[in-house]
Amino acid sequence: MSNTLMKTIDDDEFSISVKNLTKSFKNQKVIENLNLNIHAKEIHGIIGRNGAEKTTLIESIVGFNEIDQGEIRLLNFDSSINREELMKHIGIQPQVANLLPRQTVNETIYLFSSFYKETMEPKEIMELLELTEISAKRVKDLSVGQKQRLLVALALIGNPSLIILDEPTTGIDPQIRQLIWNVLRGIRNEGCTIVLTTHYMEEAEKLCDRISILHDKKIIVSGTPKEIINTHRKKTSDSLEDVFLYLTGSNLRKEVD
Amino acid sequence: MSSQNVVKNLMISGLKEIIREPKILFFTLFFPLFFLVLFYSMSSIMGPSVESGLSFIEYLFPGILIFALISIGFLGTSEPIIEMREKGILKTFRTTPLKESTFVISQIMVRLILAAVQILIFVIVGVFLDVLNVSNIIPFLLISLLGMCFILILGFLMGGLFNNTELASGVLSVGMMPLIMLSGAMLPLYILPDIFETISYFIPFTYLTDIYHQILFDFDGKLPILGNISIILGLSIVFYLITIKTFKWL
Repeated sequence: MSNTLMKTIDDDEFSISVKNLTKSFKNQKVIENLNLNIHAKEIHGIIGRNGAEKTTLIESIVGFNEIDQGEIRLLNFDSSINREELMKHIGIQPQVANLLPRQTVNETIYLFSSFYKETMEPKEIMELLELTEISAKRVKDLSVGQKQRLLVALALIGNPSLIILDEPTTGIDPQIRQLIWNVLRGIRNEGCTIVLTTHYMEEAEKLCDRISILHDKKIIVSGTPKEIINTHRKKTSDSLEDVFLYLTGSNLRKEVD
Repeated sequence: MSSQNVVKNLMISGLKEIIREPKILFFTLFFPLFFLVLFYSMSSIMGPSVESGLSFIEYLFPGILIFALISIGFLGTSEPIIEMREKGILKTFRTTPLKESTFVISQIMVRLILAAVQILIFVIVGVFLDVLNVSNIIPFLLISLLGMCFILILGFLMGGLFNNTELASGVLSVGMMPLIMLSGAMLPLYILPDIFETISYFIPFTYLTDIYHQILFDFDGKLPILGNISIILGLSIVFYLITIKTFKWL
């Protein structure tokens, strides 16, 4: 997992730095003056309620959305630089993603590997995500979990320094979830930065080194799961889920009070 | 990996997508042949034109080919591109270093192969039905090559303009026939009111039809063949540049 860009990112630097990001849809601000720093070589979870605009944030960071204002730096580069150049170093799994339906798993992985100069071995990535047995299966015949594993494989195939996954484990069974977690831990240990969105608190607590909670158009808190729980322990219980509910579920909180 | 290899890999994938879906293959490749056979059977009943001496099927032959190429260009190119965008397939490609131009060229190449097969079938059927002279085959093939490049680029341009498959399907299906009719490919423009002849100058297919008529039937052209070729070539380059500039992944 090394390349020229990766060498420019030290442990104490940020792989992603977002300053004063504002994004509107039809004149309605959905993200406002958002700031976010993601350290290099960590698994960073962005959590938020449904509709908190996690996907909008991710898609704004990777340049899929035009932003109203703000500065976004990925791997020390301004995200507005040449897209093709940046994408050589970043692996992305969008939430609403699809693939050519009549290609097999094997063909899809080989096709995507041909887009990069330095890649992981397609066979290696298929073994890593347990896709070998279904390598001859066509994309349109894959189950949700199989397709999700394939999309994660495609995000990893270019040997990226930074991987951005939008709800990689939504709708899949615990075994596959564990498999994906183990793969992500493995590549983080090799020096890769991973950013993922999730609304599973267990995933955020067990997998992520640090988390950021997106609520009301902003990141309202960032830190390690332990730090966040400890900070709010007196106001709620010591589970991340309760802290999350306390910080984001204002209506629910009023009812409890 | 060089961009030639990427184009090649994308082409192979694109061809597999088409070959593995027989419906697409049937409607783009074999459906126009049905018209050819239909008009051929009508031709024997109607007899040749008094003015041109051409039989019904002889006159319509280039028109049916243009119709077939437009089917590949519009229905076989614009619609799948829009569908790929709607379904998020293009978004997945967007997450890679793949260049717009590489993707567009590869998809045009896939359709070029499909169209080349189509033209070859037309040549064989044309010679077999005695509506195409063997001596005209080479210029016919060259002009068809130019025509299909132009139509495929136009198809791609359309694919970038629409966001919705249903809307595109409606507009392209409705727009296809008048464009062919007013280009003089299906019926002579002199039998229509003068205004339609004026409109025909603004339809690029008119110039393609004009070349076919000059090559196959020695008709007096609207423009010399080279003039017609220049217009189609020029428009192809302009439309290609617009396509690359305006192509939308998302």
